[in-house]
Amino acid sequence: MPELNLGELEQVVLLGILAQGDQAFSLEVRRGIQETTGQRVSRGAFYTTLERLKRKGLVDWEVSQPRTARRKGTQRRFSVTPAGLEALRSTRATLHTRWMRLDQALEEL
Amino acid sequence: MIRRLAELILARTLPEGPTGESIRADLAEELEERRKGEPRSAASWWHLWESMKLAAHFALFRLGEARRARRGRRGRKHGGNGFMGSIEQDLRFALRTLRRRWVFTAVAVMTLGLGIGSATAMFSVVDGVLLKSVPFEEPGRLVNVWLTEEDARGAPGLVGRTWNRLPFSLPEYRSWRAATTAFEAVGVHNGVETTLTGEGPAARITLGVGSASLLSVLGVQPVLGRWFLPEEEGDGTTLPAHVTVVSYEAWASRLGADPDVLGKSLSLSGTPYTVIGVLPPGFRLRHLGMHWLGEDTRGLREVWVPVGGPSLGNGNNLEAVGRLAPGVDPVEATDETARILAQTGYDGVVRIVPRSEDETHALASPLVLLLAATGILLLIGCANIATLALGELQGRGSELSTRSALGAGRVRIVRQLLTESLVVGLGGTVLGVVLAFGGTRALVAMAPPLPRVETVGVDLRVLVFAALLGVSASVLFGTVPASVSARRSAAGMAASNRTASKRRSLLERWMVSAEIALTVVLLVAGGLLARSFQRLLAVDPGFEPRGLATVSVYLPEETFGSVDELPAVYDELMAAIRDIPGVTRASAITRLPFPGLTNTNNLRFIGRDGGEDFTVHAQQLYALPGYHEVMGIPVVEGEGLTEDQARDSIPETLLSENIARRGWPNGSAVGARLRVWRTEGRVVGIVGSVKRNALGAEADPAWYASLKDLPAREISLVARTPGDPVALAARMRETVQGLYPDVPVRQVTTLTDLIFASAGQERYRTFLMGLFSLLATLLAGVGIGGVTARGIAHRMKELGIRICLGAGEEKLLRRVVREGLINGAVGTAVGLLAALATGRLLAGLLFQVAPFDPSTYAVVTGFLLLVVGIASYLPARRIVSLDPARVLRAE
Repeated sequence: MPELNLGELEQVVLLGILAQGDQAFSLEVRRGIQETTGQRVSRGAFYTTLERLKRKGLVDWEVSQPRTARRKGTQRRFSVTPAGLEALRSTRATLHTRWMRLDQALEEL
Repeated sequence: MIRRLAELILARTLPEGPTGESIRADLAEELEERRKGEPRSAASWWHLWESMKLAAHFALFRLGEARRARRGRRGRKHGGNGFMGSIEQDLRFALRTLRRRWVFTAVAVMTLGLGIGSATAMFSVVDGVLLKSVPFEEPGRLVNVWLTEEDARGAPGLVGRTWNRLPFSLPEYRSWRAATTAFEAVGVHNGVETTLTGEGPAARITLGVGSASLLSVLGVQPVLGRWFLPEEEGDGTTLPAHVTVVSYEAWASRLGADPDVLGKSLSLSGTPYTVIGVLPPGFRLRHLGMHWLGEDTRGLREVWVPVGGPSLGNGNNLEAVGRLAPGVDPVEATDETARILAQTGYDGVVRIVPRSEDETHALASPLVLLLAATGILLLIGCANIATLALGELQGRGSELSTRSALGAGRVRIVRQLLTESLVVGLGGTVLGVVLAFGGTRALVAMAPPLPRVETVGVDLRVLVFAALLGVSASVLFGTVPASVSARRSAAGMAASNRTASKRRSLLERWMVSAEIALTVVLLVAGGLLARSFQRLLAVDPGFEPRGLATVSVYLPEETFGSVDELPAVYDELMAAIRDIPGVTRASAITRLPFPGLTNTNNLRFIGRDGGEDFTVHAQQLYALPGYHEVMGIPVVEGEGLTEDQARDSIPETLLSENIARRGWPNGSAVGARLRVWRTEGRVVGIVGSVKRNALGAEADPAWYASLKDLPAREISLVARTPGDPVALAARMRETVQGLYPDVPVRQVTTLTDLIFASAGQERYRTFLMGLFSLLATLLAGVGIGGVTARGIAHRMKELGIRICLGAGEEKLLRRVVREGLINGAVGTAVGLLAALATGRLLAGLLFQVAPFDPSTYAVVTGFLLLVVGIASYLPARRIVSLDPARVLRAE
């Protein structure tokens, strides 16, 4: 079982990509995250996280056609790789286990 | 510009390939959205800021990746990653500590940003105006050639001011051109005005007169068509061809950038001229001797015609430029030119000056002085940051001891501290560059007419300058704390903390005194300039400017016919102006004082009481009756210009007092006869002398005749009101345009504004020097306050004990302030000496103020000691609220 290796922002970004489905362009993903979590994600942190996830093999991207006529220049569409899904699941499992243990500990107090 | 900078940053820092491209495109898309909702400039600044943040994120990201990759290769070995590895460690550590001590970081970055920003902005002006002075090919060989008239040196009036910058006549130029071998090419030019009709409403435009060789001397090519041919010049007997070359700007604004403009006909002063070429954009050629258009700071000529014509800029006021032949030095060229001109009858001295030096001769010293002031400001900032960093070092004593106990070598610690200051330096530089963008724009907007000021901007050269400043500043303020910590061994640091801190506080005091000394130098310079400016504005111009409004009109022949028709037009105009409510008096004159326009001629008095004739070079002015009363120029003797003069009798004239005094030291000039060219006149009155170009200059000799006797097409109407002259000027414009819709109306303004504008250079440097010296005072004050506060924090225990032992808080407070004042006094004394030593540099810029003006020195000293007192008192107030028990417990 892989060790717990997803940071909070990494989880948020992976979930954000999943939430946008096949419309997971970088601008939309970031906006989606800000709308659902209500938190500001700095551009720099967002893009470097995407880069880190890509290097870990957890996300992939393809260059796509501009989605609007106004858009000039390259555009990337992101997707979560099977390894990314696996990492999310295992992170959730690990966190869940830990919370359960903590709950037990709290009850025993 | 801002957007280009942002894109440059992104291109350098983002990953290559689609990743970087798509991030850039994302940001561009967001920028477009923003531009819809907010002003363009705000969106651009946002873009720059976001780009910088992105750049920082990716830089750190890359560092992390690189380290991870190395760790992967070598296993999880900590430290010892070689030289690069430890630099990276230093950098990460520096970022961490700076973030933790964010108040220090913010103050340091802001101080440095302010210093670098002002120095960079000032440098961009100096660079644009002085260093890139002559935008022509091979400026090193391009020279101005002047004739001189030693006898006229210092005489009142125009020739007295320009005695060593006199122009060529057409015959002189032609002989010179034919015979010279020292020059590769020589050319002449002149600038006048003309009326352009047929392209929209009639307009007065600037007209250049140039020789066929002019563009090849300068190394410039027309963008369209061609320049003049030698056979198109006039030679005194034949007239020049009616061909014209238009400036790029006139082509774009007046001719609609018509690509088929060649062959088109333009009407200049009623004569058709064929357009044969268009000059490149930005082509400027300043007239450097003062001529009748006034000081020609912009050098813009809308259209050009060949030299040699009788009316459009006739052949006797030609400024000469030459391109030295390769290998010929200016002395040889001077000798040769003098030899050639001697054959034409000229017996004066020829002067050859590099064009670049000539163009900036009066500007160099004030601009360089301001640049030096910003340099001093930056130095003060550095001293401030160094003392701050020293104080920080005090707080970090234990951290540094621990590190050194754990085996960090002295070199390593010094390097760590230097890295921190380089990081602060980088932050300061970035902030400075951002401030410099805005600052440069403000400096240009505020600037009085300076040559090429419109081309000034932040470019690569300026950015390199800022970067150099940033690095040297961080080394400067980083060295002090680093050297202090290097001097101490690890053991010493723990053991002799007391001596070390004593030495440190001594050093701190030295730095503060140095700051104060530098501030004094700036304050003295600012104070002297301010005093001089005040004196300048207090000068009596010889008339009463308050309440006077003016508009200038040109009455073209096409609309108004021959000059004989003009007096009736004047009457109509004056009647309409007098009808404006609020106007108490109104009149008109050919050239008002302070636009600087001049028209001088030799005035010859015949049959004077004393015997021989007497000649004076004077302004010739034609005014309507009542002009002197409107202006408030006193009629000293005799009478003013009156309405009832027959046109066929000898014209009545008035003389300015300074001519009358010179020519008739004991008797009266009234009744004297004079001759100017073919005109004769009789003096009927003497009026007060009036300053015409600059408040600081002597009043020009002038004589006045009636406009009705000698009508002119270009006149300035002037009216007095007890109310608001600005509103009146606007009403006057409306009135003139209501009467004659086609008349070009210019210079709608008030006399007070005209006078104020004439002091533009002085105002600019006074304002900037004042600003820089006040910023310096602020920085020095912050520095003193910081040092005092730290000193008190450090001596809490001592102070607590003293209070316990019965020392009054008030007394201790006084003592702390006194210590601050002693520091301040030492710094001020050194600064006053330095100011005395540098005061001579200011001498040329001061008006009626000595560079060692004692009252300025006294005021500066008092002001600075007051600031020092306040800056020490504010943090020292803490002592009063000190609870000794708590202090001692804490220790």
